[in-house]
Amino acid sequence: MVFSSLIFICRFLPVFLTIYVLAAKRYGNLVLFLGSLVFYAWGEPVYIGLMLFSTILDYGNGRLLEYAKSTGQYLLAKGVLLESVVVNLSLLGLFKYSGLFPLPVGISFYTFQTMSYTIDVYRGEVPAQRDLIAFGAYVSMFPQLIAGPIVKYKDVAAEISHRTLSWDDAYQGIGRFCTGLGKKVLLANQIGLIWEEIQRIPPGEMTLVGAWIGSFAFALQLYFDFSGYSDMAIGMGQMLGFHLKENFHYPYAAKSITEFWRRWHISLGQWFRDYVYIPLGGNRKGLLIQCRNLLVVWALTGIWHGKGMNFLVWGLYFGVLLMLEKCFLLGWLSKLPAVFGHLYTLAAVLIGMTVFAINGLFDGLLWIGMLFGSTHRLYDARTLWLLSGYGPLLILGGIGSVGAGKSLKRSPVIWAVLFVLSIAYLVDASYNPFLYFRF
Amino acid sequence: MRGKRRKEEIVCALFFVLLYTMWIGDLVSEDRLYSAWEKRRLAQKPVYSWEAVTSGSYGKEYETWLVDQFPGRDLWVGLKNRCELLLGKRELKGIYIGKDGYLFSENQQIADWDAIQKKMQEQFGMGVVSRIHVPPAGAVLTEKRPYFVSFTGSEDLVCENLSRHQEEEIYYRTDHHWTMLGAYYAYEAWAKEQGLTPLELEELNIQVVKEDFLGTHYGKIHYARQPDVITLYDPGIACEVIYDLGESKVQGLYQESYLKTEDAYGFFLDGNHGVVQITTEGKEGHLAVLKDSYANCLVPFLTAHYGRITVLDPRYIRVDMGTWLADQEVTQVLIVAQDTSQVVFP
Repeated sequence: MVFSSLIFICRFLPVFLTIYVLAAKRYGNLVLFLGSLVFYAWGEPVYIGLMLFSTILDYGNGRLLEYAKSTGQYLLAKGVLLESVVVNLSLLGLFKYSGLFPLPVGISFYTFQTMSYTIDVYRGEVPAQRDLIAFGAYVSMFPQLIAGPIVKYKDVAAEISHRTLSWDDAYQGIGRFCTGLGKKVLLANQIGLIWEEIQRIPPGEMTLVGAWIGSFAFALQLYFDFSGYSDMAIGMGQMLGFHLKENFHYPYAAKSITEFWRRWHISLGQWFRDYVYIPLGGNRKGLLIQCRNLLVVWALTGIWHGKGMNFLVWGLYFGVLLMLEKCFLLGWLSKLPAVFGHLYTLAAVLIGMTVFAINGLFDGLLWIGMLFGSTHRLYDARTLWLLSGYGPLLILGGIGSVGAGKSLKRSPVIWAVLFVLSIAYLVDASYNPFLYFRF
Repeated sequence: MRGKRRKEEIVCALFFVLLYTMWIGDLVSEDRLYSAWEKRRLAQKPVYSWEAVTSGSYGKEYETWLVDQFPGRDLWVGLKNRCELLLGKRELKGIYIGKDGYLFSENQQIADWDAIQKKMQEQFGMGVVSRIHVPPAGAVLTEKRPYFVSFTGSEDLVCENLSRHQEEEIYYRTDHHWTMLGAYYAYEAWAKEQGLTPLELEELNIQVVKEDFLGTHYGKIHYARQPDVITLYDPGIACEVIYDLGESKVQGLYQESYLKTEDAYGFFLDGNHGVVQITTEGKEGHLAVLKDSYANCLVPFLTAHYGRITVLDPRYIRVDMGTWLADQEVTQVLIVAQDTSQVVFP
């Protein structure tokens, strides 16, 4: 099931919320766990076993780790940790990269969550969860189950065991959910149509302006799609009494790639920082080691998104840019007016997103060539047609993506408008993909 | 503090009420089998079975059912389309929003008319077979198209004559068909080409039969600036009409019963039939008309020139048209059909 569907909004949500509110005091985790299983299994029940396996395994791993550590068997603890990481990564490798099976929805997200759990227990940062239902509720928690944010166990450990419902949280949560729904249905899906339409133009008929509109549209679609989903997840969590960390913070307003990645898919960046970058030595062992660490982390970040070569290249592209920024670019940029930082970041991100968007490296390179003027014409009638039909939406999206008018997001009237319009768009939906389901 | 608390409670309560209202609305509204506007069968409630649930098919079908039978579906769709138009979009679901309330679309021809024409020429001889390429509205109404968009279509005498009259009501605004006046101008050009004397406009009985016609383009997007008027230009020639070899009891060239339905264009020649045979007293010759629905409002003009007219629609007959016509003493063959038309950016 996905949030932006009528079945979720008009069936699952009212039933689930009613039961949850009534039972929250004693059976909150059980209702959340069972509800999440229904949510996950609906329309795609095949992989429910895989998720339960992952849940039970890492529950056991957590208990075993705690036992090993409390009895001083550090070798056993190391072994269990290794086993957990190997099994999780193997699952990911088998189901995501081998190409033998259709991709289980959300596997990249929940394997990273359960790994974070065993690593944190091993490091002694959190005690192991003794209650299997509570642990199951953490892993399967439907708000963030299928497209993040990646919630580290230590961040919600306290609220898993004890959380309270409040009018204030429910109110904020509803607002957040409606905003996210609007971002996804009204902006991402509609802007996505531009990208689809531009991709259908034969390469010989592309224009320079058309190529830039295409890349711009994809970048906006990806942002609203994913940040909309995160908003819905965070809002839903808040309705249930969880306070999840932010996953986006107006990334397109960044003045450097370094800053961009502190604002885009924050939970993934932090995961790699905590569990890969810092253990490798981070920035404390000299510039050379730091550069190596950056490349490793960004290669992994790229691969995490999928098995296509374009994802690896995309990750390394950003890794190299970050390296350059660390070495000298940031210093240069700081001496220039802010507008240069914005322009450089935007151009670099749009080119990066193009690699991300287009399967097949060669096609991606062709597209980048078009961005740099390999097209025959600057613009033509079709470009003007696209601009006249989609211009207002692109402008609206562009303004929204850098955070202008964000005070509107606090108004319940706006929430209601977004909600009603979203329902109208869903009733008539012919195009409703979730980009982050591929991951 | 109390006031703030109340606002939060009200919003939460309203959200709950809204979710349940939509559900209850769905429960009380009855499922429809068919959407006349969308011209398709709507999904029905899926049958529950353990196998269907575990395979996931129940979940997927339930979802389509919910969307198709959503309470007030047409209203929601209308709201969406208005919103899109407000944002400047000029193309919705393949319908292009032109000026003066004209809606256009691309067109896919229903049969390989070039092949049919060739076969007929081989069977009956070159001079016997003629053809009216019905130009799509978008190709003729150059002043009504949306900016930056054009439509492909063949250019011949028929198209020229229609273009000369493009200020007149020759195409419907909300439907893909031409009006009977449009068909008249095509007929006029064709008749002159054939060496016939076309009926004069003044000879026809002009009568408005429907003033609130909303056609297929409207049906796709639930939006129209203004409804269309269906005007009949009746040559008033007495003739006998037999539909589907007498299987259908309908009589006459026009069927008023269609005017009250969503398919008002069916008024002409009783919608779509595989075979329509028309006999006119005191005239010579047998004309075979191989056609799509555009011909339905053109055929009445032809009764002025032929004693027998056999109208064939390849979609609705199973036998080969050549075989069908072989022993029918056909003197003339006319193909009336729209060509494939696509959007181009000039």
